[in-house]
Amino acid sequence: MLKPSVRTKENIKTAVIVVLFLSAILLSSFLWGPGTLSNLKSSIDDMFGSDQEEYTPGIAQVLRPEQIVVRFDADLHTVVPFGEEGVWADCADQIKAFSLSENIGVEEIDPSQIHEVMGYRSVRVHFSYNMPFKDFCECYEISWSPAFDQIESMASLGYSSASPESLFVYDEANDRHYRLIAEKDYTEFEAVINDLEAGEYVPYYSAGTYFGVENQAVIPLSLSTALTEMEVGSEELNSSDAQVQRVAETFFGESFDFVRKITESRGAVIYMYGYSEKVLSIKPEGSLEYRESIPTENLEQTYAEALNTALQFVSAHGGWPEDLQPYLVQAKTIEQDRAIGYRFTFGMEMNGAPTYYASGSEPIQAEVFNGKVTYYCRDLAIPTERSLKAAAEASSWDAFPAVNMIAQNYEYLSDILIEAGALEFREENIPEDVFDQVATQIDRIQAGYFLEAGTEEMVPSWCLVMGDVKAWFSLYDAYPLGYQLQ
Amino acid sequence: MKKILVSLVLICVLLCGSVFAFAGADPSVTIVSPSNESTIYSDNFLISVKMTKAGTYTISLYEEMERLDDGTQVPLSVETLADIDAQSLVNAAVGEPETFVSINSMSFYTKQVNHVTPGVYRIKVESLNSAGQTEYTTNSYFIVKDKEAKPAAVNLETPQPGFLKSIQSFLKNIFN
Repeated sequence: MLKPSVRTKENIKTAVIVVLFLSAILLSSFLWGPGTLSNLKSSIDDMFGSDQEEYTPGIAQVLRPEQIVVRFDADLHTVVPFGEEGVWADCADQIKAFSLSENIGVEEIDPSQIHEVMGYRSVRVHFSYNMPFKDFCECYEISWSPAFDQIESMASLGYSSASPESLFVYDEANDRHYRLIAEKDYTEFEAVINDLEAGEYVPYYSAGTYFGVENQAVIPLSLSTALTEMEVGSEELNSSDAQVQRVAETFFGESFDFVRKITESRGAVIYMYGYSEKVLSIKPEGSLEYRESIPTENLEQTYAEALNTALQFVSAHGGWPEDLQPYLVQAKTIEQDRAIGYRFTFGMEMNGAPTYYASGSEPIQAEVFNGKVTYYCRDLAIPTERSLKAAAEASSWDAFPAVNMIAQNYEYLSDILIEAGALEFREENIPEDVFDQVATQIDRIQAGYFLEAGTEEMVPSWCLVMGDVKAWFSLYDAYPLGYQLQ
Repeated sequence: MKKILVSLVLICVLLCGSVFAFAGADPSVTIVSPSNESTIYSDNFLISVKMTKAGTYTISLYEEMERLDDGTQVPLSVETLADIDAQSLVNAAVGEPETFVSINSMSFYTKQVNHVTPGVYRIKVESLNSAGQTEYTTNSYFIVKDKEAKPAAVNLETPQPGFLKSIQSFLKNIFN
């Protein structure tokens, strides 16, 4: 028999074991119960800050062609839908296959030769910007040939069944056309064309065929689409003091050493580091603008490296919106304070369609000098949950025929072209001549969303591009919505 | 004598009048595509008609066939429209005529036509007045051929071989 003191010790030990056992059961159910693990994780994140890597789109993801035009027979074309990435991926693979051939020759050719050769079954890929050809090849893992040295930049690529051993490159910056010639046809572009022809597609014809003018720009015969009005709102970066603080911390860190904060009477909040070496302005309408002095250390970057810098900067300062897909709209080489840099402008795709803004400024813009982002502007229009849900359930409707949208509005378009200096006003011009002059200037037409200034609704629209002019018309009624002179 | 002369003049006026009474082409209608006397190398094509006046129009498509001595009708196989013997022509409607109402001073009727066989075709556009009667008739004749009959593809000049260009670039890189 145990002594009373020993018995007590044993009882205490037993009680401790029982308590530990019950605690283990309770803790297990807490950890492995539904939602508790993620709640715990987010609580830890709140306490210690998240170190998760933010999403950054790849360069190849944002370098999307503005238009891929495929020609079948007898002037019948189609244009690959804007949000369809598979066809561009196929085209990029064909270009890669072409580049593997040995002894590729390069020659400069006349625009009339391009015009003639593209009159056969062909594929033309257009970008809305020029890109150094070397960087383009690097991005898409296209083998570089010394013969490519003479091609400085490119804005479009082409293949034609009339010359299957060739690829055609257009350097828009220098207005030069090149033909790249392999020993034989290494590509399967014919298969790409045949596959598209065998499937369902929207038929397009050239402006020349519709209107009887000299113009190869393609226009859809008809278009059935489910685009509908979309309610949008700003990011509300200034929704609360805490939100503003969080945004500012991504630029200046948590301590805000040597940072002054100014709140303007109109509601803008400005953070200034030092003697304006860095300035962040968060505007009352929920957008932001950031400027930083150009670094003096000369860190030369290629186009692709600078683009990557811009993409990562956006990821770390606001991130990329979930329901919108970014794409590069414009890329330019710029000079400031005797330094050479790049300005990248990003647009947003919504429901598979491009978005356009009456304000003229795209949602995100970044300038990169010497490896650093020195200017960053962000003004996003975010679709509401309700409108996204409605869009997913929307039925298809026939758009107003593009040909008659142009015919109905040709006088309005001629006025815009006269304002832009692209058309000369002559009192003696008869209406048919005016129409022909307008029709000759059409470069591109695309369906998308348009945000009118001062509104919170994106409306489905036709976007008509004529040189430096963009004009928008209601997609279903063909009424003018606005225009922009670039 | 005078009576004979007057009768002859009247007969001439009637004959000429009957020719001019036939509906002519509408100056406000242009059949843009297929253009008159053009050749299409495909089994499909686009009809595009420009109207520069508001109104009602009827658009029809016919295939011009040749009537043989035994009464059968066969498609025409010609190189140019000048080769056609107009007297042996009969036209066969392709699809149903369509009515197009234009409310603007500039509008286009467009239609894609598919699965056509080689032959000679005619687009007829009738401009109707307010009573629905044909005021003008505008025609366009064109030839359809197999796409294999299309003239050979453009022959771009063959440049110097690629390896010579590579050597040129290599030397340029060394000495630059």
